[in-house]
Amino acid sequence: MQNWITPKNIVVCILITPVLLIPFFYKGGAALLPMHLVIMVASYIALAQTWNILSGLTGMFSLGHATFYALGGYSLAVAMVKLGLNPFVGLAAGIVLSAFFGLLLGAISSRLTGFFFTISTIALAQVIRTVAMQWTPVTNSITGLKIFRPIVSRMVFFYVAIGLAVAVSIFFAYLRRSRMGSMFVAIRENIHLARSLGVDVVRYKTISSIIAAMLASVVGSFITYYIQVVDPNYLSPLISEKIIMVTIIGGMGYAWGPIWGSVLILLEEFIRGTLGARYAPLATALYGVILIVFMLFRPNGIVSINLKRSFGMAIAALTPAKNIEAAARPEGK
Amino acid sequence: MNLAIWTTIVINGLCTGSLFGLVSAAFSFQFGALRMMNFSYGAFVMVGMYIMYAGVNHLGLHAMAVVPILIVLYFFIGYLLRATLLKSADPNVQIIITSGVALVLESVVLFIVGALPRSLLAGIPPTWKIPFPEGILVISKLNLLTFAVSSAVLIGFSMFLKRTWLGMTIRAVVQQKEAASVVGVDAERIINVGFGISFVITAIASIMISLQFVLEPTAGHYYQLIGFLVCVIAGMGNLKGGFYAGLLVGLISTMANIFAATWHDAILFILFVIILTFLPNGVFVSSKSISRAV
Repeated sequence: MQNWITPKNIVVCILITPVLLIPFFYKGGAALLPMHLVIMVASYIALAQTWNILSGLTGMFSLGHATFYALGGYSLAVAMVKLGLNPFVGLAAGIVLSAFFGLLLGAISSRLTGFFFTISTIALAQVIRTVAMQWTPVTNSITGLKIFRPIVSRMVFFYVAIGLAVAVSIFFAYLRRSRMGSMFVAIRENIHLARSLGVDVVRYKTISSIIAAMLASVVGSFITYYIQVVDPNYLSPLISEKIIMVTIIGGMGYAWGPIWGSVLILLEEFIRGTLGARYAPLATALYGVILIVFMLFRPNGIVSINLKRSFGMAIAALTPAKNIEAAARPEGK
Repeated sequence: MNLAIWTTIVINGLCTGSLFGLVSAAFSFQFGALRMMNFSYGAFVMVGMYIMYAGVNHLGLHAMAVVPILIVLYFFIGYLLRATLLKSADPNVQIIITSGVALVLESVVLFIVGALPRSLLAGIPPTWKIPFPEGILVISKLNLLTFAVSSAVLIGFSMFLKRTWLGMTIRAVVQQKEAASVVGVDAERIINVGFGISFVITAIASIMISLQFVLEPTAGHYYQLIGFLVCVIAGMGNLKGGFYAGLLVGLISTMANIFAATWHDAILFILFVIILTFLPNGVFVSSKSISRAV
């Protein structure tokens, strides 16, 4: 095991501690908004981490990850509203259902790779969306399902969300170092080489998509239980794109990626809060611009920015060169 | 249902299908020939529809005056898009960047015009009523125009690729980039021009769609998926097959609209996944893809 007490981790802990204490700083209603923001960011971290398993580790680039998220949400809502069951039954049903669709995705991925896999994930999301729109007796079509649940303190949701994000992130970091994670990375890096070295490609792709699907469904159930409504917007391509954006801007394939990237979710809430809901689409446009800029100049995301080196370069650029020889040298040598 | 109604359905289906063929042609050329994954072409179709709407309804221009403006504009957009953002050859990078472009376009349009659906032409379009044994055949003139334009554009495009100097250069670059460079072709610039030309097809498709269908900021997703579906059935880069596949999808879509309208999308996309999984090379497989002989 590596040494966990590094300067970077200490800084991160110092940054995270005030966030954990938010419920105690504010009194009464003032805490609700910051807590809501943290819950949303934490659930996006968890959700993006599951996409990170599927696409960042295994290289199965999915543009329909909202499918599993929505399956979790709908299972919970249908179990609670239509069948009157315990929410945990809904959660379990969502996990089972998502595992089935993850298996289906794995089966598709055994035949299709790259771009063709990507468009089949979009089509799958559209099929599920059509079912959600048209199977009115179960899903209430476009109005969606409203859940009535006992009043739970938002503090509970707050810590559960953070716990979920931390648990999924640690699971990702563990998976990345494990033997299975190595198999996933081998498949991502070179599928033919991996196969020739004896990696059962179809099996590990399927395992990866099932894991990602089940975890995404848990996050979906949690969000639905929290915001008490689920509708076909859960399946809009925008959700899938947000998940991807968060992961890629943070750093695809790294445990820290979605964590840094999810901070961007705050941008939308910030614009919504300061300029009004009418300006919310501009936040999405800004996401697109940030995504393009990162893809062009920092394809490995925020994680790949080396602060020490960047600062060093900035300081070197600001201070007058002491050594004329060093200044005359071409850059990068 | 008598024979006249069936004939009407089939003719309308084929006309819609020719439009689908046209929509998919741009994507098929971009992916099959230029090796560019463009996930933003649905968004560009949508933007073209709104430009058409704005030109006709807000600036008071004649529809025919907007057409050349849109075509020239789209050529330069395509050229610049390839020249600035899409230099990478990595498909995942292309998918992500073009998704980002689509995200920007959609949200800016949503911000400017709002989510309310609009329609360019009001009222019922003019039709021809042809007497037929046991009934009357009703054919929309707009549908026939669509069919004529789509086939003309696709035939013209194939001829362009086959006969003209520029078309031959594009094919040369697509087949052997290095060899083309050796004999003095500026390969990068030719790919940029090719991308610009594919955007011209997108512009024409968006004009034809805007004449018939509803405008919405999210309309692009649908046409993009239809484009993928048609390309997958035809086999990527197979322009002629793309037209036939478009006709087939148009027929299926019209039938689905009549018999199970609510499940229309699900039927199309399940078909899509099934074809993609079991016949990944397409149904209208041709030994001649664009890169070989068009």
